[in-house]
Amino acid sequence: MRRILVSLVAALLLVTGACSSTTASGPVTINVTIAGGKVSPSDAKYDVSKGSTVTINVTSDSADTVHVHGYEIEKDVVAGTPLVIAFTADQTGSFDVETHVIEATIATLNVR
Amino acid sequence: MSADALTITLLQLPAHGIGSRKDLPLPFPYVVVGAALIVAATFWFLTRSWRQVRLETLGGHPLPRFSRALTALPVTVVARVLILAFWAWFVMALIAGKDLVTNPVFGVVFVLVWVGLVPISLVGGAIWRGVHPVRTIAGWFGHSAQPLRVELLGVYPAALLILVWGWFELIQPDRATLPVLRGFVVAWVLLVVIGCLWRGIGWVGSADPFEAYASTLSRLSPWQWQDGTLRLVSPLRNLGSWQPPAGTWALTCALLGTTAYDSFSSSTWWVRLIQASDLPRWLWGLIGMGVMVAIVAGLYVAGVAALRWGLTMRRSLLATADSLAVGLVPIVAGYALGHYLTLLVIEGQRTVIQLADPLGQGWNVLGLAENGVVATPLTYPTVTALAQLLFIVGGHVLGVIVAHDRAVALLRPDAMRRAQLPLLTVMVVYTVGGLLLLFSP
Repeated sequence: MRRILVSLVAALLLVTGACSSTTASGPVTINVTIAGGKVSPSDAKYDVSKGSTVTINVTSDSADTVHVHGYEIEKDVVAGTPLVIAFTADQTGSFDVETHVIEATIATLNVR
Repeated sequence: MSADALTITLLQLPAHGIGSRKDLPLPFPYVVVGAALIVAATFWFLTRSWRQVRLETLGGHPLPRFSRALTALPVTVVARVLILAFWAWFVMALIAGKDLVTNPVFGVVFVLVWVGLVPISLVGGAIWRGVHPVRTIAGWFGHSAQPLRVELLGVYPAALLILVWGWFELIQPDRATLPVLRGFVVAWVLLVVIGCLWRGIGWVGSADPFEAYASTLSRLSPWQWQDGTLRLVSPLRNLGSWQPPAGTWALTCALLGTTAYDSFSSSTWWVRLIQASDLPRWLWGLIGMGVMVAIVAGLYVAGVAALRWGLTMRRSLLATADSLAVGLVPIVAGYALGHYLTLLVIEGQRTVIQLADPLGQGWNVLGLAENGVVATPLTYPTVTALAQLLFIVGGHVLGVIVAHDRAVALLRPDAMRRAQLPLLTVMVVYTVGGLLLLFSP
């Protein structure tokens, strides 16, 4: 049993070490369309390395509000006018990007 | 963004949700290794386990002087004044505060009370009962020596109300707006007070979902009162010597099911399904939570039903389910800490800071407002992930030990191993399921 435990712990450490080096770095761009009460993308997951720039380009057919959780960025989007939200992802965690009028989740940013 | 700019943004935001940061998904290798540990520990345990009941008695060390100090009149009076002052502060913010995320009432209900009662009960024992606003007021009228709950009902009312609370916390869309939270608090106070007038103070233990939850978890703490004296005891003996009230199986299953739904509802698969559908979101929420609770409760009852052939004496299905529910308590604690500990650390600090200015008038009571939220441990995602793994796996191991000890007390020696197998499998399913939900693809 002890041998199993030791090898499991060793495997965990090995895997942890391997994982921490695999996150891709670089800026992340998300192109968002709000049309007919639906969002595209719909809750897409993005891996973001801490410190990189996130740019969200939004076009909408109706007035709405885009909210980046955690970073507490909230901007109104006007129908037909593109909106750009750009920020540096400097806190780790998992953060939703949502619209407040049609209440949909556009994306989840996993910042590591 | 500078700290000043962030504060200004926050102040302008309307209230719409608590806890805007979530934990990163548990890395998949952690899930695999965690699941392997859980299965290995469980079945190693089954083959090597003891055959005499070990945790039947409370044991431990009585602390008569400490008990007398705790129950001394001056201590009680000061404690009651402080407790009621805190709740009066809360009520003031609830009645006269602003409908903004910076109002501390949201953090008090969703974070300090609901999440905070988990570590408080595990570390400090039955503290929630001591700071309960209705029990504290009733205490002035000499109700402190009354029974803890209404025996006939057990905690069935609380189990049902955990589901209602789950709906409010996870599905009700406007829960983080002041009018809706006011409605909730009024409903809770009416439920507790009218019940007490009807069945006595014991109603609080039967029907207040917060108290039933806290009391259940306090059985895993190192403190227990016995014959008017506080004892320092082994947490395993505290839980293992407990004969849970009727309905404890339903309460623990409701807690596991609602927590599981909370994780499940943020999985990509579920979010996309809802967003592609034209059905209202609250309906999907009710369906999702209902299915999750039904799976958890159904598996548990099936596991208990499959064990009954080995009982030494006849015992109803639900009575057996209640008795064995001691084994679910550490799993509930592990789930709660694994899912919500970082929320408590971050939003708990924010709530305490916000309590300095309950009405949004720029007050700085006790200098609290000058503090910032310290989130240093969370900047290392590996630390959070390892802690989550430790809570979930640790809860499972403690649960298996206590459930086995209870099974030894209930089962014939010849049936011991085979009869336990289905229930242990159910526990493995819960725990591996909990890890998978934290991975939440």
